[in-house]
Amino acid sequence: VNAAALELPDRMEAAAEWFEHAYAEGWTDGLPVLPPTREAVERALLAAGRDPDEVVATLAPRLAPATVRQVAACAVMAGCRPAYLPAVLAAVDAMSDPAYDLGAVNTSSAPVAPMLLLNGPVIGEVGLNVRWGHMGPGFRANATIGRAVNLVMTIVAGRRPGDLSMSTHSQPGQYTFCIGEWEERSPWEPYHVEHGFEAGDSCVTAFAVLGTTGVIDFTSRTADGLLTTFASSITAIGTPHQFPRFGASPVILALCPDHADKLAAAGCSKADVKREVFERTRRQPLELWPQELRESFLASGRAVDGAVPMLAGPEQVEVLVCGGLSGLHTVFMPTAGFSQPRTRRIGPAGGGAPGRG
Amino acid sequence: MAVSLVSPAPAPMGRAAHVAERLAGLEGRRLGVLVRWWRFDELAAELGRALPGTQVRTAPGDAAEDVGTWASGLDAAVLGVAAGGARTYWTVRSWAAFQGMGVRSVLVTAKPYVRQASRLAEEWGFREVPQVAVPHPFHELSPRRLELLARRLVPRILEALAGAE
Repeated sequence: VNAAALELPDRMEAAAEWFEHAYAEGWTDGLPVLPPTREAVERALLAAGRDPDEVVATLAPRLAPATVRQVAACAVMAGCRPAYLPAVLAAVDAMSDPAYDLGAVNTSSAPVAPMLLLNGPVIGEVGLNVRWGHMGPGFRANATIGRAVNLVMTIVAGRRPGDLSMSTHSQPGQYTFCIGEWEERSPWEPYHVEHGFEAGDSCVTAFAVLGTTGVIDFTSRTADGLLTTFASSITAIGTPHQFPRFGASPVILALCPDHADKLAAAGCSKADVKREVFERTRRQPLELWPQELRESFLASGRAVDGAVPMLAGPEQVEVLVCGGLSGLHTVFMPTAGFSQPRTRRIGPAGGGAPGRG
Repeated sequence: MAVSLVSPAPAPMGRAAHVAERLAGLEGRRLGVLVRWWRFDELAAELGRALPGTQVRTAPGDAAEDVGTWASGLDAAVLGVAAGGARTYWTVRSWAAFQGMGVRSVLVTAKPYVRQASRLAEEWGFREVPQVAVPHPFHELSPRRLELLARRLVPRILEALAGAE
């Protein structure tokens, strides 16, 4: 069961032969993958301490059961070290939560991808990069944990472009997107603590993001200036949270430590930042929008007194602190309106959450 | 050199799901129209005019549990418009749930999403999913074109819901 034998001519040819085989089977994202040998998968399973036949989740849109063994095979193929598998399993579990709406995420015509956020001791344990260049290449844990989850989506869940997935553009995050907070450098409590977990819990949160937008502010000397800059990124016409049907989707501000420092030095708590960004997005004049959108806002009752609130409340603003020092670049990430982030504790048996379980 | 591999793919699921039978007729029956896209309710009104003696009820929204409760009081249903990837997924999910309840149903699907709807149903074990295709984007049709389209759709919808195979 779940086994195949492949004759490989010699060690140098084997990798290329294997990749052709994997590509023909639909077992890759287009980039080379490692072969999920029995030995490699066994090593990963040992690290996870889970029953290989246990069904982690039923994954939409195929509604296919994903076993621990299959997820382990995907993790090996992605290049994960065995120690990464518990995070991958917890992420897959989080994405199967009905509130995440994996079926919609994996079939949507929007450019949506899973973005995984790690918090807690796991960051140090797996060597996740949370500093310079943490959203980009060069770091094995970031690259392969996110990639493993995306391979599960492609191979098990059936996220095939033009088939079950109708994403018009897709986006690079469908290869891999795994980040963490630089918790020691943040002036505020980390994301998982904000949402009810203990600081010592290792957690993964799955978001469904629609991309990344750089937000540069070298010049603001006050918190007010910075907060206005951040809010402006959220009010662009066409972002999903402005549409009446998608009004509750979270917006993520991944603040660089320098921006976070400036806000904290001005006396802002994380709750203050969320509230102030919300306040600055509340009254967007109706005349800014094209006529059809204006009519839509008016018909839905979302427009009040000639203005449109872009967010439903401060809790919709998610604030993270990560990235390198001295760059003064923050990243804004809208999320798919139909998907709510879900958090899982990382451990041998997974685990739900007080707040986002 | 032989290498033993663990397949990352799930075993073939071999599902076989039942498509609800066509009704003999819609006279006196309860027909539901699930409105998942702007302006689809205008089609519901046209169906009501075309089917005297049939109770036509509409339901909005995407909440699967609410839709299930609503459908439990129906004999047949029209779901649409399946347009956009996620919306097509939600619509086919509802359609599949209706099959389990024995509610004969037809999808009204925007042309670019007909294949996706068929593939979703196939993955879930259905040998077919009754669909009638409409232009895309549906919600941009003028009121006059929408009215004409609704008239054209009615006989195709009736054929999918009732009468001989």
